[in-house]
Parts: sequence; C-alpha cells; structure tokens
Amino acid sequence: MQPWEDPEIDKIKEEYYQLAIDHFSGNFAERDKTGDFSLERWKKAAEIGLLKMMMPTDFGGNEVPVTHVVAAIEGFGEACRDGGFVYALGNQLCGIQLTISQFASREMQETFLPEMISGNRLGAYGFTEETSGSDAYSMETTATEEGDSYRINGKKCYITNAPYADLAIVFAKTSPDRSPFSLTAFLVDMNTEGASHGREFEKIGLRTVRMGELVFDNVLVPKSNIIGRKGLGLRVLTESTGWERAVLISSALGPMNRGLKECIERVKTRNQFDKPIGSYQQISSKIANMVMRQRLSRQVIYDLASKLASGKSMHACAQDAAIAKLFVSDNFIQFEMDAMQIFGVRGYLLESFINQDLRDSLSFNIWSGTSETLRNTIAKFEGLPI
Amino acid sequence: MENMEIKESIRNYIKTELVNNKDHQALSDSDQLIESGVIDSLGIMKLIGFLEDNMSVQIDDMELVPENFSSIDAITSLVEKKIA
Repeated sequence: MQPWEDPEIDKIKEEYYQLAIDHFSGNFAERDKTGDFSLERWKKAAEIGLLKMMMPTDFGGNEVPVTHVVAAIEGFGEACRDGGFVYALGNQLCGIQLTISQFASREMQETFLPEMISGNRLGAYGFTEETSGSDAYSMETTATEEGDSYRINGKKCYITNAPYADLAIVFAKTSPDRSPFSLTAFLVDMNTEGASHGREFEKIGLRTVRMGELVFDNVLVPKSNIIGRKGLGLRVLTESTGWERAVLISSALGPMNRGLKECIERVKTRNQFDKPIGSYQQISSKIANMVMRQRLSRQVIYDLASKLASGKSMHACAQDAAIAKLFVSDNFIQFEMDAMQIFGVRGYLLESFINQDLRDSLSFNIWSGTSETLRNTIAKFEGLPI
Repeated sequence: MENMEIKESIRNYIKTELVNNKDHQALSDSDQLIESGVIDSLGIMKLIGFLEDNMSVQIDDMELVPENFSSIDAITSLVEKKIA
C-alpha cells in the first residue's frame, strides 16, 4: 500500500482536522489584517500535542514517525485557515526543536525542549542576513573565541518568530574562509545582554506569524551552547533545511484540500448563461489541473516522509527533499492562482480567504531555499558544473 | 574492497562528480580539496552520501572535521580506519 493511501494516515489526518475544528476554526480575516500572533493559541496548539511530535519521550515528546507529522499538519492545516500559524508550528518543530534534539547537548535538550514542547518558550532560526541567504559563506555574523565563551556580533534578517522569540539558533562564522567547516551554530537566550529583537517586517502573506530581525551586539555565549560542535554549522543547516523542505512543505496540503472542495462547489453552483461555470471547458480544465496538483503533491510529500520514516538519512534524501519542496511550491502557487480565478472578483477582495491562501502560497517559493536555488541543488546532484 | 581500490574509487568520484573546474582535473592525492573549492557545501554532502552508499561506512558528525576531508589521501585514510 502506498503511504498516501494508508488508512492509519487518514485517521491521524482526521484527528487533527477535528482538533483544528474544535479549537482553531473561525474567521481569521481580522487577524490576517492586523498580523496578530496569539501566544494563547500557541499554547493551545502545544496542549493538543502539535509541538511534541518527533520529540524525544524523555523531554515530553512522542517520537511519532514523520509520516504521522505530515498527516497531522495536513489535517490541521485543512481545518485551520490560519496559514501563518500552521507555518509557525512547522518552523518551530522542524527548524528549532528537531535541530536541538538532533545536535544539542543533553544538558541543552533538558533545559530547553520541555519548555518548547509545552509552548512556554518559542524559538527563532537565525540564519538569513540582509546580504546572505543561499550563499551561506558570505555571512557577516561572527563568533570569536574568548576563554570558555564566544563573542557573537551580527544581525539576522527576515527571521520567522523573531519579534517574540525567547531563544534563537544563531549561525556565525568561526573561521573567515569559505570552507564547509567555517560556520558554527549556537543556541542563544534572547535575554542575554546585547541580544535584541531589532525591527519588524510587514509581509503580504503568512501574516499571523511575525517576522523580524535578531541583533547580536557583543553577545557572550558559553561554549556549552554550541549546537553540535565548532565548524558543524553547515551540517546543522543542511539537516534542518532538509527537514523543513520535507515536512514543513506539508503545510501546503491543507489549503489545497480545502481549496479544491470550495472550488468544486463554486463551479457547480455558480451559473452564467444558464449553466454552471463548471460545464465550460476552460473552467473544468482548471479544476482538473487543481486535482492533479493536489494529488501529486500529496504523493511526493508522503513518499519522501515514508523514506525518512523507514530510517533513510536526510543526507540520502537531500535531493528528494529539494525536489519535494520545489514541486509542491510551484504547484501550490499555481493551484491558488487558479482558485482565485475561479472565484473571480470575490477572490480578489481582501476579505476573501482565497487571496489569503494565495498570498500565503507565494512564500513557498522563498523559504528554506528559493526555487531557483533548489533547481541548482537538484541539477548539482546530477553532476552539473554549477 | 582493497585499500588501493578505495582510493581509486574516491578519486574517480571526486574527479567525475565534484570537480567543476578543468584546472582541477589533474588533481593529485595530496591536493587541498577544501581550500581549492573542490569540496563545497553541497560537495561534502554528496561525498558523504557516496562514501556511505558505496563503502559501507557511516560518517559520524564528530568525524566531520576539515582534516578528514582535506585531500583524497585524508578521505581514504578516514574510510580505511572505519573499515579496519
């Protein structure tokens, strides 16, 4: 049986769909307008178990396989229209918590994971800078050794959850060259002297998760807060972006499942020239394309998740993860463009959920590697001289 | 796999999959791979995948240090130590 046809997966999806209906449904147009992130809702999400998935049982996690996580995000995201919130949960789980559970010392895990799993502390992933994203080696943030500590200086930009993050995973150069061993990742408590949240950015989509800067001005961090060890930053980065590409991408499935149902209903009930618009071939073709995009996206995501669940390493799945992220992002955006066209002027209204989903989808071609970078990565795996 | 075969296999992989610059085709076993840019961020991931799939070894994170990947000689030595 294929993983996307597994009744066990359907059961998990349904369970989280229902949890979202019970606790996270409703019109969120107003919060979308104001860009309101709710810590109260965050804690509720932790309460229903969304932040314990894949986490070690020693620290309050449940160590469920990655296929279950993808199913939970799919079901939850279908009933919860708040795409920014779903994205923030996935980012916290894959980018922050999983990184800590895979690479940080037992002491750091003990200190931080239970607090994050219970929703009491929230993390940010401090990698991108104003002048460095895909080109990691051009990073300007530095960490200089000073006795038993490192002194961090630099500014991280466009960081999810930055305005209210309690902790940050911060990447810095510990060697000035462009070697794969020149980066180191640190866990920084944002209450440390010299650490601050910087400015905040308004976005067109994923509006309910906020984005901003993290500023580090002579921040002294003990060596014990190194994630992994000195020089392992690139390894940490490729692992966590791999998980984001493989798992966080499933946050596209909920909106596609929901959008498909709503568009089919629309084309069956909206009449023009005494016929439902779905009877016109230009509209039925759009629906056919949307079905194809939704179904193939599910297959790509669950296929990769089942490989990871069976124990294949992220190293071995790195190209597959890039393919999944690229394929689903491209299809998600086109899906939402078609959905908006089907809804016509109603979809264009700011109060419309259709353009909310479209605005959210546009970010998928950017986060965790732009689509251009992912195409390079995929081609490079085939030995192209890029 | 004999030691010579290991080195030959690593050398072939690096020259066919990781070398993008014609100047590096004449690579010797002691040439610096990181400093010269032959092994970059994606290159190291591909190389680890190759070693794990073809040499039946598992590269631990603690072994991910520049010294182990600095040259064809160094990579061969790492694999030989793990197989021994």
